[in-house]
Amino acid sequence: MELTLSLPLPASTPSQRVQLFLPMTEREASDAELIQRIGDGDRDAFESLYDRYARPVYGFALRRLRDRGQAEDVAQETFASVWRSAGSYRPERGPGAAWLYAVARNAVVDRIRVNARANPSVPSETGSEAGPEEALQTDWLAWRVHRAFTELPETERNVLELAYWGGLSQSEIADFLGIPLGTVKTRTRSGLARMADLLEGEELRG
Amino acid sequence: MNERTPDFSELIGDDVSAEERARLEQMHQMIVDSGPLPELPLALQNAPVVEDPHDSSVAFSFLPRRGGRILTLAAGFALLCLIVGYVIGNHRSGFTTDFTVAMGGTPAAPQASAVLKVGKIDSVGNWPLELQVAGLKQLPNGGWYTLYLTKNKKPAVSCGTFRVHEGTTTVRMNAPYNFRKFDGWIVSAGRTGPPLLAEFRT
Repeated sequence: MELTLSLPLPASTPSQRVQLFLPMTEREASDAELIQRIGDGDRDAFESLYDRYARPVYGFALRRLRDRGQAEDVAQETFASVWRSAGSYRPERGPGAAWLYAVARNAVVDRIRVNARANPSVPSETGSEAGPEEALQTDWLAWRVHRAFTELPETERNVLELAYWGGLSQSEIADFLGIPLGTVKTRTRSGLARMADLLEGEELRG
Repeated sequence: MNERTPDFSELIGDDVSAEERARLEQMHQMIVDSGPLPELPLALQNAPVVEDPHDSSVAFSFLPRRGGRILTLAAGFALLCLIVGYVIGNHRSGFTTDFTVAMGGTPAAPQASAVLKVGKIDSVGNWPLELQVAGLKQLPNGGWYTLYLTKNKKPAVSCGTFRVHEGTTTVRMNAPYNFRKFDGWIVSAGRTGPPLLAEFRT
């Protein structure tokens, strides 16, 4: 499968902060390296890529399809496509995250077409009230943000998850986790900073 | 998931430079705009087994697909209930320990401790478990804890849920898994909660 990318890539240039962040991720291969290894049949690389992207892929599919069962199917189809077509990935044509996003998007579009054929009376594009261009931008933003989120250390990820999606105040998070309020604030701030670093540096890391 | 948007000033506080504050606020808004990242359903919690890199027709082995999966899980659960009920009902004092795992409290629950007894595997692959846990707080609103087997030190599969009372709580569970595929055990309040008890294989 040959994939063509026409995605809005991050415009910012990598900052010095990225260099500070790199030591934490050096031990892990970049997305591009993993995809290339998958193309050679490397199962460990496939598991690593799956661990990084299973939630973002499922989240993206759920966002577009608004059906958990179909999102589950699409996530499975996406990773099946990755396994089959990783050999077609060319790092010089774009970063690994964008390639995988294109694979996931193709799987979603295929599913929307199947749904449209099965139910012609239902609008073919589901999951967004926004226009196509705006929806594309939002999907790509969410993809990058969710991908960065999965890279956070667990302590920071837990705090941000409870703050943004658990509906807890900082004090409630401190109570829930049994840690001082100051630690919650420190982890929140460092988690946000780390995510910003990741997004600013993702062009470098491929 | 909760739709409440956290207050940025509460998250960050005041002692941040204007430049860094602007950068973090942009990140904050991106997270808000992106919406929640959903938890993975059971069928997606582990990477699929890839059989043969050169034969895509047999490359994948996910859990059974949804329609059959519900029936399969229901039948499996019913069978599990029967087996566990039989074992507990008829051999209440006859738990034969194969090996024991001592679990220590993590920084999130340093006062907690647990001993996990793993019983003899039965003929169809069930490992009876008996967890003795102390030092965990009772969760509000009838909340429960979950014992997970881990992969890469992250929750992979659940071995069961339990509530605690003061003192030591003893509960029995079951794990129909191949332990060699996992690298440890943790107890947490839900999949996204921090590990409270943990023991990892070295």
